Amino acid sequence: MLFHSWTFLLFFITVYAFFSLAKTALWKRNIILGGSFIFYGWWNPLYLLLISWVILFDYTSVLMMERTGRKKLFLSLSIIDAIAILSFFKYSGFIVNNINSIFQTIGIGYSLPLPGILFPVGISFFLFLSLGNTIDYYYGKTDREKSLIQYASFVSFFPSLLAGPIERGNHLIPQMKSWPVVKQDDIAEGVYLFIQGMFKKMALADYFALYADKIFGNPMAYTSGDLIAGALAFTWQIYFDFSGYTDMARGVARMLGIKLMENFNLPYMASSTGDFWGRWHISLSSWFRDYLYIPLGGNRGGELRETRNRFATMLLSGLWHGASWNYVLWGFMHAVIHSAGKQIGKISLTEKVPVFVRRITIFILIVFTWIFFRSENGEDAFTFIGRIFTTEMSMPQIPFYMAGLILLCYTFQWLKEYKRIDFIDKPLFRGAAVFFMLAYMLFFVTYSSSEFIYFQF
Amino acid sequence: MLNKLKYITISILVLAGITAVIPVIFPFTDTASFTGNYRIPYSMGENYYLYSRYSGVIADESRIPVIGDSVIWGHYTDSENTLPAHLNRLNAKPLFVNMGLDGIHPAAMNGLIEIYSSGLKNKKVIAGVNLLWMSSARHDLSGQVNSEINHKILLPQLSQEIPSYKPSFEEKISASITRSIPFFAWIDHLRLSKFSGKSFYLWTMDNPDKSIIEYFSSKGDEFKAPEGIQPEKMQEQEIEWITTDKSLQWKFMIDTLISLKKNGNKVAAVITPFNTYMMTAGSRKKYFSILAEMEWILRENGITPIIPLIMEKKYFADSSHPNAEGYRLIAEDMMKNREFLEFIGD
Repeated sequence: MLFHSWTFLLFFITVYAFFSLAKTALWKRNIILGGSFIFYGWWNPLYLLLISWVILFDYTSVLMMERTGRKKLFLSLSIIDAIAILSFFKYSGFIVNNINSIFQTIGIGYSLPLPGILFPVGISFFLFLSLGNTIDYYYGKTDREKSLIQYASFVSFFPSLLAGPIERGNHLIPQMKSWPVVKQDDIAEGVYLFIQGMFKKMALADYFALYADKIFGNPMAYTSGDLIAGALAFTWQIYFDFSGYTDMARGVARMLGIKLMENFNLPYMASSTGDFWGRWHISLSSWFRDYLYIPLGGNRGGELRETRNRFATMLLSGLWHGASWNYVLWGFMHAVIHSAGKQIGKISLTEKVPVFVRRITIFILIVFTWIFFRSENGEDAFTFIGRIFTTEMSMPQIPFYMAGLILLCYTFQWLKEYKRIDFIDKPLFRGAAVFFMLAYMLFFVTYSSSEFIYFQF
Repeated sequence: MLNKLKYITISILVLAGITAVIPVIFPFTDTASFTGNYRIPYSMGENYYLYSRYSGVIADESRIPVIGDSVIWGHYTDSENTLPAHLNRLNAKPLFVNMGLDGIHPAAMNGLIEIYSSGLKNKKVIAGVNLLWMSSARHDLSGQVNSEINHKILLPQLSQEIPSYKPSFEEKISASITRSIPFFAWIDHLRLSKFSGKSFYLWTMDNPDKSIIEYFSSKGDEFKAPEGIQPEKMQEQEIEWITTDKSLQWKFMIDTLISLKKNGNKVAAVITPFNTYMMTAGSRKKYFSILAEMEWILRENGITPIIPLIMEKKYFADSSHPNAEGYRLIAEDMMKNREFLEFIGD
């Protein structure tokens, strides 16, 4: 059940009708919990077994931490459980493939059979959400949630279940416990966010995908101009695909009176890679920062340890995205660029480089890293980049209209970053924007229920 | 000062109003060409808005609509050599209107009449019945799941099960909503009739260098009637006929005819000829037996049956489509048929 589908619209109207009838926070929560299980089970009822297991295991782990005082043991069990689930459902094919490659290299004529396991959508998101809460309890940052129903509602909350934002228990659970009364402003903001997200996905991301898919599908057939344009198209596709999903998720939650955290803040306006990670998929970046980078020592203990911690975090972040070496390479590239940026930053001259030059430089570097992310494998990514520099620079065959849209999107981000168009948040402009986005989709966009890129993670 | 919610609500309401009014008032309707031996262009086969407008215009005239599939539409011939065109030529005045739609089958025809031709009331209506749709379980939609069914949006989505059609819940809901809101049919009409049948985005992908203005002026491909099979190449085949008691398509056909009757129409069913030279002796025997059953069922339901002429294979373009000469022969035969003359003459 995708957000931009008729099925979701019917589902949401039904859930919302029951939700509106509920008088107490308890009933509101129970209705949303029921809705969340229907929402997730709609993909495949078997998924419900998995999410129920995650809820029960982490709930019990925290309970046992409190009752026995053996916090480290139960935290370890919770981490092992999460890693085991991810390894089984997400990485088993990757692991087997790599073992078979090693067998082949050393001359063992035997291949392990590929597991062919059903990949449950959203698994990386709700596992991280639940594990994050367990770690927060371990560090004393949050109280134990005593109600299993409440904990289940937190983990399975349907707006953010499939692709985040990866919420924190101490932000979402208190809202759910005293479930706020839905105000007019919540509905206005929720509807606006939902329509904006739908526009980003259907009118922008899915359009850019037409060109990006064509170029990345066969990079050998294209020369420099098209390859650069293809990389640019994917750069905007993934941003609008994922931020569009997040907007819809936040919009749906807001209509229910719940405020989910921001996940994007003009990431292509970043002036350093560190800045980029503070603007892109903020909930995941902060998760890795708080639960991996800092516990590993963060930037304490010298430059070497800091670099080690950064590489570990970025490589794992890459692997989180997908069971493939190109994602690991993508994480590695970010770690390299980030480390290089740190070293360059020590040269006093760099401070004199204007911010806009730094923004453009980082944007170009980010575009290059996306090539690793989008390519089928590392070899394809290197071929892609190699051909950018070795083939003739010809005029790209990107549609004129698409090139114009990309330019418009980039300009819009600059204007937004420098607060030159703040008037668009005024009620009158919001109304006009809703009209424009809906009308544009009705007239120019052919309905298709294509999935979101981040659903595969 | 209005708040955010009021502005958004007003925007949505204004847009809803515009989408409701546009299909009614917008002049992209091609009414001027609904004359003579007009037929819905091949590339407009899924333009239900155009069909609905066409049907609406014909409903207000005294001419007799001839509904049906590609056999009535005339897949192997031009618009001046179809069955309605030949009937017009033989009749004292142009009385017959080609309301066939290429590729439509009885189950979809049922939806087409119910949703987009509900204005056909208190008229004489002729329906073409093509036995092709009963020539296998695949054609009958009673076999295995088939993803290549034409005009899926016209099939029953929630009310009835069709064994060959197993859409997802989303597809069912989407089809039901799309056909209930005229604006969506109008958008398809614009795309098909003005914009080469493509969405704007796909058009820009196919024409990256062209200016956007050209998108609004491009035309769809003209239809060229395909070559039929040469008579010497026609081979006998075993046909797995689905009998009338088991055929899903026949059930839909009868439902359509009865529904037309309920709307006060006087209905005749022309069972279009099947190429008996392209079937084995056993299949031929069964074919005649099905024909007899059909005639009986039609009469039972108060529908005038027009039984097909047996034609030589040179008058066919394939197993079920006559060629231009074939249509001429059928029209001549019909114009000698006492029941048919009575039907059109009242």
